[in-house]
Amino acid sequence: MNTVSVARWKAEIVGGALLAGVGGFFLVTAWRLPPPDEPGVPGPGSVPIALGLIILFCGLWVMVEAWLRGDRGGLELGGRKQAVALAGLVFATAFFEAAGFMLATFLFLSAGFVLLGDARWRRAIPAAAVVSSGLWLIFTKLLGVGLPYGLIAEILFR
Amino acid sequence: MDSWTFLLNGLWIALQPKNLLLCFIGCFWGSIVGVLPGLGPLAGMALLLPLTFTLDPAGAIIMLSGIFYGAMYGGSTTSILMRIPGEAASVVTCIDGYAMAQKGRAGAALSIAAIGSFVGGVFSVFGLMLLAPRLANAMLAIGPAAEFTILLAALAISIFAANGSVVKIIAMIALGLMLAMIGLDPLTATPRFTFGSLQLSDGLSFAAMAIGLFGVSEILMSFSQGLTERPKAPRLAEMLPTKREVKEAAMPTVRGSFIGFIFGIVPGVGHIVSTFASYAVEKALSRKPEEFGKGAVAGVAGPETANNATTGAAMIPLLVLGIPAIPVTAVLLSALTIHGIQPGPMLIAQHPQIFWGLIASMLIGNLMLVVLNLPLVSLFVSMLRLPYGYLAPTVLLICIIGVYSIKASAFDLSVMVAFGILGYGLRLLSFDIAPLLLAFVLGDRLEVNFRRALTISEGEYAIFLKGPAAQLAAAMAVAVMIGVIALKWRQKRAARA
Amino acid sequence: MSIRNGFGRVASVLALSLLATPAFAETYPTRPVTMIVPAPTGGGTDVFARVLAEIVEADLKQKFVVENRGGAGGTLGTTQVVTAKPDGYTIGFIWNSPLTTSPHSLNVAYTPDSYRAVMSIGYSSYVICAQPNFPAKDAKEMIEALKAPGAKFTYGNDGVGGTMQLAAERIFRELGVKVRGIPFAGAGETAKNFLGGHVDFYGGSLPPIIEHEKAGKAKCLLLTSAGRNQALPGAMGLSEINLNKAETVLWWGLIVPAGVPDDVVAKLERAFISAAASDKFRDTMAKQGATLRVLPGKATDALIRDELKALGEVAASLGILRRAQ
Repeated sequence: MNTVSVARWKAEIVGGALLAGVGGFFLVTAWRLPPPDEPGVPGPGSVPIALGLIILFCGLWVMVEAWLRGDRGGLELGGRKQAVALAGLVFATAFFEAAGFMLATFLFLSAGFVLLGDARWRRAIPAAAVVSSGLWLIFTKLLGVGLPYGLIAEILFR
Repeated sequence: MDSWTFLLNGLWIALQPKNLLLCFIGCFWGSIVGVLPGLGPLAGMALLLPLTFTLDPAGAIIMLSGIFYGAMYGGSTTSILMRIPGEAASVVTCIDGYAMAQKGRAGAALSIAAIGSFVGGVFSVFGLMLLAPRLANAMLAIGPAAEFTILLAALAISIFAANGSVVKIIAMIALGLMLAMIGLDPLTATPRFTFGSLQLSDGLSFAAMAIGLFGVSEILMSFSQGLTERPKAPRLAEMLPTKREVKEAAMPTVRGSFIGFIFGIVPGVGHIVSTFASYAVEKALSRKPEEFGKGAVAGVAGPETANNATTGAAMIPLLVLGIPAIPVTAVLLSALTIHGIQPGPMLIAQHPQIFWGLIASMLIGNLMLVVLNLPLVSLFVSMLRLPYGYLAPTVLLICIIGVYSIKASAFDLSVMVAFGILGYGLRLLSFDIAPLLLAFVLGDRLEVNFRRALTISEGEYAIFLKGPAAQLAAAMAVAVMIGVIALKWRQKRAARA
Repeated sequence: MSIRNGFGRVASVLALSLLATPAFAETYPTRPVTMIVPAPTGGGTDVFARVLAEIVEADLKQKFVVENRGGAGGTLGTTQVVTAKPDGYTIGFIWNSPLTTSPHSLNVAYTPDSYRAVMSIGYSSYVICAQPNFPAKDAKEMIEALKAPGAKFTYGNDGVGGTMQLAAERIFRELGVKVRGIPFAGAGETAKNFLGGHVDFYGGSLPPIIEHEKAGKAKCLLLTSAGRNQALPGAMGLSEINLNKAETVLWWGLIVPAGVPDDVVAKLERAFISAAASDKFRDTMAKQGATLRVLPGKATDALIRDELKALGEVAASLGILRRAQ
């Protein structure tokens, strides 16, 4: 399986930079919030400004520490399976409402079983069908959770 | 009549077949909604609330409370099996409970959690019975200033409870606090970091964040560890804790009961703070603190006990003051008012059958729950026998359903995915995500009370030392800070030696 | 995301209005009706909605499913109601704040034209209570104390931009007094901090404080409604201090998305008005310290529009009009 790896110190520096960036972003956004209504009493921006500074500082610290330590060991960022799981997740959540529960979960599960679990399509498809309709029945009928109907659930269960 | 006579009367009420049945229904239903991530006691109670309209008030509150403390039992199940925290109070259990499961000790972890929950639950009922009015006064004495100081101390505790470098932990705490600022500022109604979105004006959903950070990131992590290393499914004979595990769990369970009950008076977030406090105490007292995070039995027993030991204290504001401190007790309040009972300072005197019937039913319910939950352990653990390639997509799907079931919000699903990726990245770089979640949960109240206190005092910082409650809280906070610094220093020295 | 949903909904609305059949109401409702309550389970609004739903179900022989969609001061759930298919199968049971208060501080996507008021059931006032040792025996003496030179007091309210805060500030503005507002997350938290002595006055709804007033832990002096309330006999109404025009109360009603066929609205209006007039519901209202005052759709609509305008003026004077978005 092909995985992507980088040197740990490089990853730490990127991580620290991102952290510092997040801190800076919040700092700038918080700076634009309205000032306190009366002097001495913290306003809506006061605490976020302080937190933004702390995050910024910690991010820089992490960068400097990583630079000084210079850990050359490898850090495995992930491989095909992570990419597949993530893509599946993004797809399933994005189309969860539009496609309806049954279709989204059925596609997600059967693809997941095959690509992550190395199952054969012949086994994955019935398994996915059973799990998704089972979960649908448990959650909507037994627990009263409102899950998005879609064409399939509309036909099967309405 | 003293408390014990009242309790006997209460037992008589609770043991009536109808109330016994209602208690069982509540506990059973609570266990179910507690096990499922996302769905919590609140959703479970909402579903059964209309049913209670036809019951008498004592029966209604017996059943609904059963859902509440029953859900506390189930909350740890997914934390241990899949590293998905069912609710904020089981975040800590994700750490060592899941580590135990990976070592093939899932059955033991679940059993210890169930027994700890039982001990903590019973302990808290006795506390509620004997100390309710006094604790109510303590709760009233905690004003905005004292609450701020207590929450600050809780964050300091989490620095010690967490793993990794101090700078990284502080970064995570600050980030968690910052994420809690997203939404409408409660004091001025100014939208902060919402970028015009109405969904964000309510803030980020805790469940979406927690399930993403823990559950989703765990699935992603597990693929890089290689599928071959998956925990071996334990055999049925290995379900129960070993003698050594029981011994290791005993004292943490006792301490967890006390810690949980005391922290129960912390407004609103007592059940969460108590788990972190118990975890930190166990880590500080342990002879092998390095085992924490790698499946320490005490790291499951203590917090799980503490979490349930707060349930009694959580009922006090409702029963003694008529004020719901948490959303769950707000539902209990409406169940009572619908029957024409307005809880308040006179409830115990005017409606003893409700107060004592409830107390007695909580004792019986806790017993039912432990009997109900122990056999379920083997059922849950057998889920781990599924091939991981099938389990992983199913767990991800349960994450999706869990998040969606709370508010039916597609936006929350995106939040979950985003935090799944964030959690994955943070864990690769060995940032501990537990303090981030704790800070997020406390952040709201921490900031608001800080500013509220200063609004009352017109900017005078002396308010943080005004009054006995604030002074006590400040002394405690200073002691905690010194303790954390000392312990961290000891850790560092031990690591060097 | 919301834009895409919006388009989808607009499209489905168009499609539906083309398909909409006449004589709809003869059969309505043929399937369960979703009743959105934009508040979490367990509050007063929720209780009223559930009791009403139960009575209406028996009348119209169809399930009315209560769905709690709390968040953003009720505006999220309300948005969901006004953007639903206008077929009468999604209705909303709301309190006035998301309709008349929140639009001043939040960027909501609806106006009184995007929904239709079906009816309203009644109101409950807010109350201002002093500590038991406060040197005033009624509202008039309290006002004197507030007006005294050097007077410095704090009062707890339900949160900035909420109806309770606007109700109190409206009165204080008329009286020309300044009381420091300390916002809490709700009347329960306000009550807790008031009882603990952390604020001087309680400002909030009646239920959390009634029992404490009976126990002598609070002295309730002034209501935000014109008249008195029998649950708190010691508190004056605004008419007794000549401030009728500053009345602000909490009220509840039923809305549907604009565009629901007239006959369906008429059917809902009739069913809910008769449910609200029933003994069972009257009893529920009384237990919550609320006053029954059933208004039909037209009157409710007028109430919404007037209140929206009046509270907008108060909000503007307080400087909490929509901040940077």
